[in-house]
Amino acid sequence: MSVTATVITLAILIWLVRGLTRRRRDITPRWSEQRLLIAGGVIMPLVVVTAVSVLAVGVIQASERTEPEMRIEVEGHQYWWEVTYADGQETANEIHIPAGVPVEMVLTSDDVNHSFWVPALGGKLDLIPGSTNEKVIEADEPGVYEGLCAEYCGIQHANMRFLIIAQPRDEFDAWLADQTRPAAAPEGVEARRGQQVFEQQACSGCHTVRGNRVADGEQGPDLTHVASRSTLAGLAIVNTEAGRRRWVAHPQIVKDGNEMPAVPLTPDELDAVLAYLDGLR
Amino acid sequence: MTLAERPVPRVAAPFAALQRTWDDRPGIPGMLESVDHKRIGTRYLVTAFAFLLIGGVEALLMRLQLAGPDAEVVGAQAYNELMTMHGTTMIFLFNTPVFAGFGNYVLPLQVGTRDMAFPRLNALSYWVYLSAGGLLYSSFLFGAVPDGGWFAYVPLSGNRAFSGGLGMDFWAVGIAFLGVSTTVGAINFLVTAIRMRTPGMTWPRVPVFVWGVVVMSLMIVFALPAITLAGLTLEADRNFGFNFFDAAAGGEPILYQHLFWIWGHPEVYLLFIPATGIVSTIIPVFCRRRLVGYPLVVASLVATGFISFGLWLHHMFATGVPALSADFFSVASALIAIPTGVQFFAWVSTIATAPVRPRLEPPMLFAVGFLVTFLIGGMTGIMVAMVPFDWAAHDSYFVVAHFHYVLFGGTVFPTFAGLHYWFPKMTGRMLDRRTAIVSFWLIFAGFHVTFFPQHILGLMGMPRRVYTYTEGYGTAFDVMNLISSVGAFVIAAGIALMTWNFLRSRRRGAEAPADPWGADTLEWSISSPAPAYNYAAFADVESHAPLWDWDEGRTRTAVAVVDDEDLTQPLGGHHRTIVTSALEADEVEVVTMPSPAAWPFALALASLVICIGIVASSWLIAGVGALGVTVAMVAWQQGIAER
Amino acid sequence: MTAAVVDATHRTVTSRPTGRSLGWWGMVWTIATEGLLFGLLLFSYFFIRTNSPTWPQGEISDPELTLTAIRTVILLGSTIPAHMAHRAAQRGDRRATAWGLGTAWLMGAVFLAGHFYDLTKELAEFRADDNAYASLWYAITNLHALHVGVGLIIFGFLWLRTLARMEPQGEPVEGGVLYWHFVDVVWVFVYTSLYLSVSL
Ligand code: HEA
Ligand code: HEA
Ligand code: HEC
Ligand code: CUA
Ligand SMILES: [Cu+2]
Repeated sequence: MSVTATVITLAILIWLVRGLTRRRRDITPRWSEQRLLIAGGVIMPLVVVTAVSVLAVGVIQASERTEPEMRIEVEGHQYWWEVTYADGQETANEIHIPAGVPVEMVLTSDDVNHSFWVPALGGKLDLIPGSTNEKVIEADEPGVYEGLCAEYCGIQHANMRFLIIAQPRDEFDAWLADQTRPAAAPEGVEARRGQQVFEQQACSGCHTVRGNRVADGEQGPDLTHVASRSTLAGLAIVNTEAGRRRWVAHPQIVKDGNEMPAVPLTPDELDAVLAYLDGLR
Repeated sequence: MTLAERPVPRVAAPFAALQRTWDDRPGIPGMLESVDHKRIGTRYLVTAFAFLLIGGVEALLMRLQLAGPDAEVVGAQAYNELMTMHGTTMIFLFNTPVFAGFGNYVLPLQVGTRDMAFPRLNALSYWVYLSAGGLLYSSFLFGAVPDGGWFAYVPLSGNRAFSGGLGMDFWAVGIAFLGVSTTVGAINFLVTAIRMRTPGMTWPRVPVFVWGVVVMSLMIVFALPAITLAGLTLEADRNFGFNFFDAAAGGEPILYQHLFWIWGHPEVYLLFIPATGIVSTIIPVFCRRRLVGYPLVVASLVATGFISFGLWLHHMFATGVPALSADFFSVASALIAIPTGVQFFAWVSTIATAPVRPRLEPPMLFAVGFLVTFLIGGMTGIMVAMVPFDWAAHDSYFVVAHFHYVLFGGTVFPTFAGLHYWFPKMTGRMLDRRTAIVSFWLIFAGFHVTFFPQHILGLMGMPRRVYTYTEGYGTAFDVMNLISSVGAFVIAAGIALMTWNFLRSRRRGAEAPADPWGADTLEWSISSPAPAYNYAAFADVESHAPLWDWDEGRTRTAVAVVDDEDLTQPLGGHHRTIVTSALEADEVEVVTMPSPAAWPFALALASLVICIGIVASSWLIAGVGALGVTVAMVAWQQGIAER
Repeated sequence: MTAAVVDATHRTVTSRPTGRSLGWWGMVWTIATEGLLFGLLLFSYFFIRTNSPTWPQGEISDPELTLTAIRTVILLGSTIPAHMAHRAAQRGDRRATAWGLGTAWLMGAVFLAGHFYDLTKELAEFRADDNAYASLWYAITNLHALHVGVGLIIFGFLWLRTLARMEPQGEPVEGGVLYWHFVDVVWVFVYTSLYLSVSL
């Protein structure tokens, strides 16, 4: 399609150059002027448009036909993605799917419009509050595909990205089974103290840690297996110990204007919380 | 010897009495009262140009922020504000008004009359435009700059919970207010074109630019209510607890998108249509060749205007519309290639069959720059009209590239062409040709350097409206963004040079003859700058290129006396002019136009006070404004002589 | 291009009627754009209505029909005296013009009074911020009432001018009456959409 357009573009440009360099006196146009107008301005676009439209309609109809084998709920939040699997397993910003299987994304929004887009796996579809959109994607090869929010949704729209992690079926099943577990109990003094801090501080009001009765907040991502992800906060940081530290200490510096406030923690408390988070695998 | 037999020389002296009657009082009172369409037109052009510079500086700041990965030049919030104000300024405060400016200056001249049909409403249009622009930009003073993007989608912009502060209130109220100006202006253009054409100017003899303004105005009349409604409902939701768009209270967020684009799509074409009118005016003049296929071109303008009301959904393909409607709107969008193609080939044929080598004077250069640039923009338009392609390209830099090619290429190049073309008529001075040519090349080269790489960036997956991107998308990605930023500064250099040329030549340019280009429409038959009364007598025209008819030796006649009144002399100090019948422009009547008055200015100011009241949620301020509006409207009636 | 600026031979013509006044043309386009505004509001109304499981939404009861029907008849009836005023103004019959305008004004005023009466009852039951139905309801009915109000101001103004024997009267009355007809036609659509199609 784009090739056709480019060829036509070039042809017309050449026409234009001819017009600028040669004069009517020395050439006799093959067509009369009005005929050129009809040929170039009516017939050519009609042919091209018909051709590309037929192709396009074909693709649209085909895209309607794929039958999904699995459904994943994806809810957009200012500025992160909540991902829920059939048995209530919840994660954020990293969507694991089995490779070679058509998977349906059930797209809804908690606040404003967002748009789900994985450039390597196809087009985009919006997440609109009050309605549900469905989009089937399929990764032929295992691998990590980057996705992003394509609809302007506020100050940190730029950092509302995510990963599609396509795995061979058995690896995926293992991962999903692992995610089904409630959170691991904290190991060691530091981590246990961290859990206490987490429960007493604001953290637990916004984040859910499945298996922990205090931590049942809904505003932020589910942290049950947070340490098992490779990135955090819509790909704003890499999920290393250092990255987590930077995030928990200065979320508003890492991702200016996002919905998680900086919770005032003493250095000790911070160390403890990080030890706790480290155990949430 | 009766007047009918006496040839009247073109020199201004015999019409000194007319000049005195039509001229404004000197000083500030005259400025505030003026209803002279040329003065108002020039004001529109200057103000719009100033907004272009402001919007351009905003773009430069954005491009600085995007020049490299993870840059921290302006930061997230400021970037979003700049992005919103850039788009809003360019569309609402520069592009739409600039054509109101051309329309105001050129349309009455080209139809051979002395003023617009409703001179005071015309003044009102300008003052409201200025006030609304002021209102939008005053948001900077309050540190509450709109940041919802130029189409202010809900719920993000429609709910204080997601967009706190007054930023989007300034936007919603400002846009609805500006709509008054645009609508009133459009109605004025329509009635002027319908009733004020010089004798003999039947519709097939109306210059193409006037046709362009007529179609633009028709589109405004039918499209503008949608944005007014969008603005008002948005403000009602934000500020007064209404629930048009709140899904939780039974509203529909998607409805806003429909309302916006029902206006928004016709809007971009109603910018494009008068722009093509300028191109269709300029190309024939510099090729000394009547426009090939004039009737087909006019038919295309009308057809484009008509079809453009059925395309809005192509901005919403990614919202999950049913496949059938997607198919329909996709094909309809692509079909617009036909009327546009007809126009395009009319220009190409005109150039190709010119009897002389086309003269590449600055206006013509910009027109050719338009052809090349718009062609590419049009082709990418056809590409994004194809749904599967759009699912990939939507909200990516590919779309940003498309719309800068059509907006900058398709409407700004013609704007610059028009400014260079009519500058001598407006100021009585010539622009410096060399400077103009250098600035053209800077702008043209800078433009393509800036925006061509954005196509590729879009296809690589760069979304629009992001304030930054991380390293790791590869060197190509970073380099292309850098090139794009560099290009923006080349454009800036070109525009700066052009601005300097305008400012300098206005006083120091060579004196302009009445007709520096050898043009074909009526405005070139009077002195440069045009006298306050425009025409002492009303020319009879026999085609859409009357001056060339006269060149070819047709006799030149003009209506100077109606009944017993000699129109070359003012009657009782009134602004007198003629109206003609709507279709054939053959019957003639003399009418008295309203005199200059400052009430339009007062009305605009009072309305501005109401708007401020709404933004500030203060019934007191709004009430004071309403009182002022009433007073100004009653006082307005003064001095409107009976027709 | 000297040819373009040479002198023309001046012609004398006799004036002939050129058709409707400039004001009338201005009014036609104003009505077109205003009509679209109402059209889009009704589009929004049906857009939200078709996507809503219940209509009216929430606890709001169906709109009341009888009194509104009477109001409707009065408003539509007022087009007759308005039309007569227009014809009389064209004839130059000032007395009949004043009567026509006055009668139409009174009928319009009754309609508007009825609107305010309804409004007090509605406000007691629901408010614009309750839900989308309520928002649309108040936006549309009040916007129409605002137009009736503007029509009353125009008619009042024309009436005074007619009484004060200002010359000539035909053209402004022509525009004013056209506007009045427009306001009536809009009401037909509003009444059918907001009242009849919900309650019947
Ligand atoms: C002056 C303004 C202008 C003009 C003229 C156009 C022209 C066109 N536009 Fe564009 N458009 C915009 C301004 C404009 N656009 C803006 C501002 C946006 C983005 C808004 C936003 O999201 O912020 C946009 C976005 C936009 C979209 C939505 C993209 C998205 O968001 O996903 C689409 C989709 O269909 C589209 C299509 C078209 C088409 C089909 C044309 C056609 O009219 C083009 C027709 C012209 C030609 C085709 C060239 C000449 C013809 C020939 C030489 C004949 C031969 C032709 C063929 C053989 C095909 N435009
Ligand atoms: C007619 C319309 C128009 C014009 C002319 C332009 C001109 C430019 N635009 Fe525009 N742009 C839009 C309309 C326009 N834009 C719209 C509608 C959007 C969408 C916004 C949104 O998404 O909401 C957009 C978005 C947009 C983006 C995407 C932002 C994003 O998605 O995050 C970018 C990024 O590069 C950009 C860049 C530019 C540049 C570099 C120019 C340059 O061409 C500018 C050139 C002009 C100048 C550089 C001015 C020169 C100034 C001087 C010389 C200073 C002199 C000073 C004095 C004399 C005092 N624009
Ligand atoms: C007011 C609500 C709120 C509080 C309090 C809060 N968070 Fe968050 N948290 C969020 C939100 C919202 C996000 C998502 C931010 C984003 O990506 O835009 C988040 C993200 C995170 C993430 C990254 C998760 C991921 O997968 O991307 C971690 C880790 C985290 N928070 C830990 C904490 C800790 C530890 C505390 C307490 C010290 C805390 N949060 C307090 C709301 C909160
Ligand atoms: Cu979410 Cu952009
Ligand atoms: Cu469009």
